[in-house]
Amino acid sequence: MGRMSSAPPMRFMREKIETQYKPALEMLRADLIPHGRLIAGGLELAIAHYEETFRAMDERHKKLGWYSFCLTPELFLAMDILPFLGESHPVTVTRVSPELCWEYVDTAEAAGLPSELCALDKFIYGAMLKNEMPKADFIVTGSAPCDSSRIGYQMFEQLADCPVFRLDAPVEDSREAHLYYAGEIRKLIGFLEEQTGTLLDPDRLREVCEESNRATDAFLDLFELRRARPCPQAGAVTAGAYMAMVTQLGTPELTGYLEFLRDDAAQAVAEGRGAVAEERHRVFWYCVPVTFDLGLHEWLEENFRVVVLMDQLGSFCREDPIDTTSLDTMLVDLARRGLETTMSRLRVTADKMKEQFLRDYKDLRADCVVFPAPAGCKHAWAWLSLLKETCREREIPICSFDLDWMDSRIRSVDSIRSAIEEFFTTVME
Amino acid sequence: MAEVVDFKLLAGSIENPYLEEWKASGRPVVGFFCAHAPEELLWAAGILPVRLRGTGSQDTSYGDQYLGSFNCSFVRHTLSRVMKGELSFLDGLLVTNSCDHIRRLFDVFTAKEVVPFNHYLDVPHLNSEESFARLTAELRGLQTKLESFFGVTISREALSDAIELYNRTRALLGRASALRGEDPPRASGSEALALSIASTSMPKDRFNRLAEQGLAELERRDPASRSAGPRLLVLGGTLDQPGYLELIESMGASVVADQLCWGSKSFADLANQEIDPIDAIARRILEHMPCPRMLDQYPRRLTNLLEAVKQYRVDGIICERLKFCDLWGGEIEMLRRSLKQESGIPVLVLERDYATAGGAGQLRTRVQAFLETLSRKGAPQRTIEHQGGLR
Repeated sequence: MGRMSSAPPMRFMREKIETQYKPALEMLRADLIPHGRLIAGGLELAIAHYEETFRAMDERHKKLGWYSFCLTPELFLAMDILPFLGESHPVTVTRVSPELCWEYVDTAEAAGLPSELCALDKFIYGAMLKNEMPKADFIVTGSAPCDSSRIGYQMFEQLADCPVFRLDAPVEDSREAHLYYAGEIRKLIGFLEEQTGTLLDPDRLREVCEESNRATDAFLDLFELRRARPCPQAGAVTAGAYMAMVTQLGTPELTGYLEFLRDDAAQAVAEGRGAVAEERHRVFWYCVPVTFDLGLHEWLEENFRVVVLMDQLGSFCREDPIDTTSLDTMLVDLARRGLETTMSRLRVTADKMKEQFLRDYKDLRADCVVFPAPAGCKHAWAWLSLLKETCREREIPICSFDLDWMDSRIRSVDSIRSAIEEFFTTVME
Repeated sequence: MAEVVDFKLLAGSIENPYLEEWKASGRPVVGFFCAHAPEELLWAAGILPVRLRGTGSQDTSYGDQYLGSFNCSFVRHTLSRVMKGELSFLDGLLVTNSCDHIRRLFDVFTAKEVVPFNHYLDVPHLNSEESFARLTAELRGLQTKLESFFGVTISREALSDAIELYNRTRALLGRASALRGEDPPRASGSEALALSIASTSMPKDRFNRLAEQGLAELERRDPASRSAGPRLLVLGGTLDQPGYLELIESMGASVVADQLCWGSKSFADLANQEIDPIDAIARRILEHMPCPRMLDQYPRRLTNLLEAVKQYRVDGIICERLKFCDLWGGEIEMLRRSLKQESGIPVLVLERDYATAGGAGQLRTRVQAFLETLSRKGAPQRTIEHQGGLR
């Protein structure tokens, strides 16, 4: 079934890049926005990525591959395919234009989608109906992390005019699971070779993986530096770095940006300089960000002297490097990374999630947890009670509330801030 | 003298005399949740597999301690019953990753140690040779764990016998299904669903004997005594309440086919008795009438549906789903799009909560309006005639 419109895809986003993102970048570069100097690099990467996406659609100079939270982009880059992470687009758009999210969600629901699906999938479906998702040459998706995405990508396929490749993601987090998933990736290579008409060059993949490892090294250094008290960089900086990570691992531009952040953080730590004046509380932000509240971090910093150390999205990047010894070792480690990407990690059992949660909480030297539980996430709602029990047993203060992480009509910015304020003025006082 | 059994009564509760008798003999019972569970493997271990559900639950308060309001009511009611200790016959639980709601039950069962035996079976979401190999490894792992935990040996012969027994059940349920698909139907849709549900919480050998008798009664019915009415196909996820179909049929329609996970999806397609038993179980799990959880099977699901519409001369389709079921929510939207393009058959979508007594009035109104639409399109109308036969 074809798309609903014959107009050039993503027309509105093209306009937004010029009228909103580029002016915002100038303001960030000029440090007119808090932490702007540090955030600017992330936005710059995002803009360049969108422009490259538009070019791939218009000029067809390379294949455009839409992938989901089941892979990292190294393999695409090695085969000269432009990778586009489908789930990153709704987040990027909603950060700047929450009303666009409403429009796409409304479009999807009017078309018959149930309101309780994840907003991410409703956004994508609505945006496809509005011709505001990329016109990809193919889509690659996996069976993790959730029902919403599993059925979501089947629905997207019905609207898309392109082949779809699917990977079966095992629940286990083990060597056997990684080997199995590596086999799935090996089949994906065959599909990509068919789509591009060229064979994968293992040496080129090695180069990309080595670049990816450099970025990961910088990120791990950054993680270590964020453990310092006071924390050297604001939560907004980490959130931006994360978005760049998931979409551009393996590019020198990403590595450069993360190394810049690392060097800045190292200097701040050496000087005893914190992102928040007189840092009082250190939050491990578990689960999703509030995408439509760009000023949330600043509000937390100013009102409660709270720094958000890391969110669950970002903590996936605590991964061992890719072993570039051979094609086999690279595929196994790409499999491991694919399975451990942000949302895919939700596929594991609660015991495993608890283990990762406690590890990150301790390592970050956090003193409380904020858990925004998104309405569409059945995993989060089934896991929250057990997490709260874990926190109670260990006397970890936790603030949880419901919201739709992308649709501010479900719970407004004021209401969310009010829940957080109550936590910091009572429990944490 | 033949034992007289009320299958609708049996379907109304998990607990039943056959289960009690099994327990009284000291044999173990393991609960499971989904048509993707390898029941034959449990049976071959001398375990009675019982498909769990929340029937009989009055509220979700216990389940709500661990699951959120965005988790589906089937799972919250079922968890409530387990947590209240109402399903005390359980010696173990086998959880499959059928959907996110069900799979997260494993976490609660593990954390709360509700039963001595608890196993999570990772069923692949694709049907491929690689996923088949992975599933057979998973099944062999489960076999080893069952043998060790319950102190039994699961022989190849026992597995083959279990497959034969379960295939017999599937064939019997297929027979009932065919009777309601006749024109005019000799069985009602609610009768066929009741039979299928009743089979899930009693030993299959006992069930098969009783079902043979019940089917013989049905087959003696005079089909000519039932006048024709709109012929419906009902599809969707968890529907373990034959009364739901009974209400639809009480308004003059006949449910002549279903694609429900407690109905045809649970018994369609037999396991291959000519190959290695574990392979046969794995193949059937991956290949039987597919559920929306299978990523690569939408074309087959649509084809199955279109074939059923043709085979059973269906006038209209009712899609039912539980609130918060993402898989069926998306699937129904996809089917609605495809059907609009490919057949134009009228579709009614019904959303419901599990185990709520209310809503019958609304259901009646919506179905009535749908039936009127069908009659305007030329579907026949009929009056209801109550007959003897399968209860």
